[in-house]
Amino acid sequence: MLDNIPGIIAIFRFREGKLTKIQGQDILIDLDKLSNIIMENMRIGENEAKELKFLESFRGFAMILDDMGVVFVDDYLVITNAKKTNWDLLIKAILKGEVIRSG
Amino acid sequence: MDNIKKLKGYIGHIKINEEGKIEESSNIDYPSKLVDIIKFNLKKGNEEAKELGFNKINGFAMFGSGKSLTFMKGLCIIVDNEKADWQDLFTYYTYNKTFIITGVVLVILSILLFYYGLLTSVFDFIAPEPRIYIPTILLLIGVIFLALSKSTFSYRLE
Repeated sequence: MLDNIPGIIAIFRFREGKLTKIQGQDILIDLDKLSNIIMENMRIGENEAKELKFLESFRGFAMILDDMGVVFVDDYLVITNAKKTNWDLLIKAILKGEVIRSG
Repeated sequence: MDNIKKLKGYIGHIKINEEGKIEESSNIDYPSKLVDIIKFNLKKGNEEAKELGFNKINGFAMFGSGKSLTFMKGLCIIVDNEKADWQDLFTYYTYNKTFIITGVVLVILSILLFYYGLLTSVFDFIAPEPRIYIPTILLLIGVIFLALSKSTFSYRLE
């Protein structure tokens, strides 16, 4: 459950190559470009995890672009303010699969 | 940089310089392979950042089912997912030196005043009450300065 975590801008569900917003503000990012990037990064990440072994099985990634946090795990995408969020609460919740109540 | 090893869930780390050369490596099985992967991801991440309208990638993390890696400011840390404190990995505290020095000076001054005011006859010409409350106030202010010195919350990425 991400309700009590500060600095969350928006949450998306990724399904069949498309991002659908579940909650949060509108973000000024091209969602098609972002979807392609996510798919590519997951593919790259899986290959890298295979090479490195300790990262298997690969579950997802986080990137900090300027001050924006992009976290993608288990088909959920969480966009955050990288400086305001609490990364510990955020990533623990995401890794536990507690992105949304019903999810 | 011994502090790195004290991070919660720490497994290993690798530090690279601007040119991508390894400066430090601890408990990493294939350092050169890992560095190649990091460099590739940074390059890719910067391209992606620009494509999405940002300036640059400041850092990234890759999550595995048991272990994960984070990379920021030339430092790659491998952690145990269960034990890691992700806030510690992404951010850190800086200390305001002026505040620490002021705090320490005030605390020492107050201890000296307590000692000379209460246990010696140096300040016998002053009434007993100020001999207690002046150092008490100094001690409080000193402790406040010390507490505030940690409040500068910095971003590991900057």
